Formats: sequence, structure tokens, C-alpha cells
Amino acid sequence: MAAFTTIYFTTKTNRATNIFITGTTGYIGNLLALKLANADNIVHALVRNPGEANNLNHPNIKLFKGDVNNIDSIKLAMDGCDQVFHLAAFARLWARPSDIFFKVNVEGTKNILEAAVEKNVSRLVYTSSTAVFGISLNQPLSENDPRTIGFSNDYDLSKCMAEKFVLDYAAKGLHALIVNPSRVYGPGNETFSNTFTRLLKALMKGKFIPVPKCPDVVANYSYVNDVVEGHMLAMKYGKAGERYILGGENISYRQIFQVVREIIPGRNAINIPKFILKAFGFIQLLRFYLTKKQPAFTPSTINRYYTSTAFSCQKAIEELNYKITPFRKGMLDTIHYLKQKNDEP
Amino acid sequence: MNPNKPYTLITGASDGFGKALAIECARWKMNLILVALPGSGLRHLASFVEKNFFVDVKIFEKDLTKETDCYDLHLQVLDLGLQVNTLINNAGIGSTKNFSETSPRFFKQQIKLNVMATTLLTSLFIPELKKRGPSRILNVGSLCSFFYLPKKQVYGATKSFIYFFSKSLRRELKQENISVSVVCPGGMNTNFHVSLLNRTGNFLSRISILNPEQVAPIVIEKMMKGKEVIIPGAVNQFGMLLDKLLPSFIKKIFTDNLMRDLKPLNQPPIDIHKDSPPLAA
Repeated sequence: MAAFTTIYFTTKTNRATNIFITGTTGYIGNLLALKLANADNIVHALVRNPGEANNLNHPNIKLFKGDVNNIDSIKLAMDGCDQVFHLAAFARLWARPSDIFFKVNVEGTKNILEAAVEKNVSRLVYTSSTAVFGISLNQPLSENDPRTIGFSNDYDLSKCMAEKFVLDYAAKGLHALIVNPSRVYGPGNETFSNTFTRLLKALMKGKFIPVPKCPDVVANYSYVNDVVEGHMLAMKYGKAGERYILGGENISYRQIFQVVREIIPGRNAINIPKFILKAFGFIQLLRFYLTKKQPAFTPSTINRYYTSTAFSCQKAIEELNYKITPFRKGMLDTIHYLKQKNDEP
Repeated sequence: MNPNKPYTLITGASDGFGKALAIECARWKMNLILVALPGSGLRHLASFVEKNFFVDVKIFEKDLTKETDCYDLHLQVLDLGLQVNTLINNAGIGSTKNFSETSPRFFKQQIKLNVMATTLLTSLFIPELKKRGPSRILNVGSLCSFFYLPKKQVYGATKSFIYFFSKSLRRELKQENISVSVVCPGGMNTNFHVSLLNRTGNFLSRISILNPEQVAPIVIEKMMKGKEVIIPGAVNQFGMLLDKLLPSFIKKIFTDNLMRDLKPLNQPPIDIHKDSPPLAA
């Protein structure tokens, strides 16, 4: 017993945990990598283009050039790692050909799982999305609730299929689990997934921004720091084969603007009825077929902004000790952060 | 929640179109009896529907390709004293392969579920439906029973059976205050496999694809109105119109073209040609 304790503590104190992570140039992944590195872990980051990953400068972060679709590069980067965070994904509303969703999100995930089994990692956390649950009806959705809408969206379908793989591997004995962040907001990289920051910056500059004309439609907004912390908690406490919704408060567009207007006054948010946005989507789709310019959205992908997507994080709160920053506080912090950044020379 | 109100029995309710029908019926405040294969997540669906719509939901995990399971279902529903006034025969198995590639095991299951279970359950529940009139039977056919598509041989034939059976039965049961409807949906994004396959069709077949949550409200409303044949979707209705107007050689060119591109994506990450999963309509 004494020998065991000694070994246990020496490994604990002398050897930092090696953690493999994908998606580190993304919004959540970047913050997670830095937080893990600051906590004295050795972070193995799989990046497609190490030259562009300049916000990953940290003595504890090792960059590995690779791709989720190249399993050899994954295995090389995962060598010696004890834990795996897989966040990389093709996160867009629409793309043609749609194969890219399946290639990156499904096959990429399968490659990560395959490598994790071969490298004998002890725990794996896969980052999915609340998009897999679809829409909520009269009550907030929780992990066991069924999806009530079809798979018309490629992203949703690909993330569901990837989840299925993770659960299959978990059933076969890999300690793998899933986290599902909701709409994430807060300071961080301004990537495609960070819609909120882009809109806030536009508001601060006095630009007009479009807002869906359905002030009472409710969605779940999670503060990015909570989600990052939630990932670490899931790695620590999460049960294999389980899913955990990492969200925040369920609030309506109206409530968002009540908070935002406390600090950014003005009237530069235009309520857009659904049919107008649909028409815009249609025009963009036509333009795509004529000029191959990718649309920002299409008629079918905007439905999600006009239907409620309320979620309950009760499971994560109870089982992971997950904590939610109140929306008002998170939002005000975000605006202050953006203002500060704006004032810097 | 009022368990004394009559129940709507839906087969194949765990996924796809059946799930959408279940949710729509709950929206109409109907109590539900949901039937699906064991391990298909019915319990979660039931608690979700009860939580969101305050109706009573009973679940039965049955394999309706087995006749004994059909009889058991009927007896258990009677034992619980549940009064059924709407029967929705939705459970079915689709097909995606040429006949020469299809195993006898597969098409036997398909015929048992699509034809036998529908007919048997209808026969078993008609006495209850008579007692509770006005009552309804909704059978799920398919648009492909009108177009003789390749890769849909057995499936299309079973759905033609459903179509004939429903229309004929409707005339018999009219006096009994039972309205029989048949819905003939086109392609829908139901489960993983079908949704993935739907993405590989040509332009025309892709724009005809609907989502189950769009189709279900149309279908339940028309069923409640006692409509005989329900064809959801403007593109599909237009297709039916063309079917009546066009000469058959043009239709052949047209449908050949429709099926030609229908193949799995370049590297299907999940085997969409798996033999067994029961696919809704």
C-alpha cells in the first residue's frame, strides 16, 4: 500500500498530465487550451497550420501539425497523452458540397476515437452541440429528450452521427463522454461560432444589426468561461457514455436587449420578420448557384433563430458541479471587455 | 391529463415520422399509446410528451413483425381498459437496394411489418373503434406506390397494398362511423440513414424532401377532417398531377432520372445499406 501511495503521489506531482486537444484555433478550444496550459498541463494541440496559431504561444503548449482527417498525424500528436479533448468541427450553417460536414465532423471524430483507443488514453471528452437536440416545445430540453425535428441541417446530422460514434466507443470500453454547449457568448476569438461578439461590436459602432422579429422566442446562452470550465469538469467527473448540456440561462431576444441597452444605448437593431430573412436566404442561394459565393445563411437554416431552444443544465450542475454565470453579469463583463479592447491603441 | 379520454395508438412511434405524428397528436390533446421496438427510446419520448403536453402516454415495446406481438399488444391494451378511437399504422421498413441484392430475410420482414401487421392490427382494433365512434384509422402509404421506382420493388408493392386496403376499407367502415385515411408522403428527413440518403438525390428529388415536423400537422388535420387520401407537400402534389397528365414513356424517363443519382455519399460513415433498421415510410 505504501509503495502504491508513493508511486501515486510521484506521478501526481512530478509528471504533468499530457492532454491532447483539437480545435484550439476555435473559440472555446483556444480558451480551453490556454487554461489547461496555465494549470501546468502539457497541451498537445493538433493544428492544421502552426504558423497561424499565434495565439497559442505558451511554454506548455506543443503544436503538432496535422488534421482530423489524417489519422497518422493524430496518433503522432496523441502519443504519451492521458486525456483527449476533441473540439475541432466544421461549424457552419450551410456548405456545398455538404460532404465536408461529414468528412470533418463524423470521420474526423472516428479518427480521434480510433487513435484514442490505440494510444490507450484514459479519458476523452467530445464537444458536440445543443444543435443535436433540435428545438424545444413547451419545456426546456434535457439530455434524454428526443429530437422532434428532422435532419434537414447538415451540421446537426453530422454532429448526431459523430455522437453516435462516441457512444459506440464508450459502450466498447473507452471512457468517452459528450458535452453539448448551447449558444456561447463572451470574450474570445472572433470565429464563426462567436456570433454574439460580432453583433455586439457592430452595435457599439452604431451599425445596424438584424434581429429576428420574435422578441419572445427563448434560447439558451452560455458564458464562454462557464463552458470552458465545464469541459474541465466533464473530464474530471463525467461518466462514460453520458451527455452533458453545458448552457446558461434561457432568455428571450427582448431580455437580451434589456441588458445590452443598459450599456449600449441606441436604436440600431432592426427587427426582421422571418419571410424577409427567408427571401434574403433565397437570394443568397441563387447567387451561390450562379457565382459559387458561399451564402451566410439559406432559407432553411434561419428557422432556428425563430424557434425556441431552451435547455436545462440540471444534469451538469448536479453531476459535474457545473456553474452558470448569470446572463446579466456575463453580458456586462463581455461588453466591458470589448470596450476596453476597443480603447487600446 | 385525463386517462378517461380515448387514446390514439401509433405504431413505429419512436423515431422519424411516427415520432412527429405522436407529438402532433399530443398537440391535439389526444392521449397516446406508443408502440415501437424494444430499446428504441420510447420511455424518453413518452416522458417528454407528457411533460410538454399534459396528455397520458402508454408505451408498448413490441416487434410487430411477429404476429404474437400484435395479438399481445391488442390484449394488453384491452386489459388496461384503454379506449382506442384512433389507430395510426405507421410502422414500416423502407428499401434502398436492388431486388437481387436484397435478402429473403429482409423482404419477408418488410412484408410482415408493412402488410401483415397493418392488416392484423386494423382487424383486431376495429371492434374497439366501432364502440368509440366517431373514430379514425390512418394508414401510412407512400408516394412511391404511384411511381414504379427501381430499388423500391417490394416496398412500393407493400405501400400499394396499403393504398388499396385503405380505400376499400373506407367504403366498408363508413356506416360504422370509422373514417379511414391513407397518407402518401414523399421523401422525408426521418432518421440518420434516410436523411443521409436524401442528400444524394438530384435537384428535383431534393426539393421534394420534407421534414416530418412539417408533414405531421398537415396529416393529422386532414385525418381529423376525414380526408380519404392525403398527399403532403406542394412538389409532391404537383408530381401527382403530372402523373395523371403525362404519357407513360415521359414518366419513365423522369423517374429513371430521379433514382439514378440516389446513392450513398462518397464515404458513408455509417452503413446506410444495413439490412435491418425499420425505417418509417
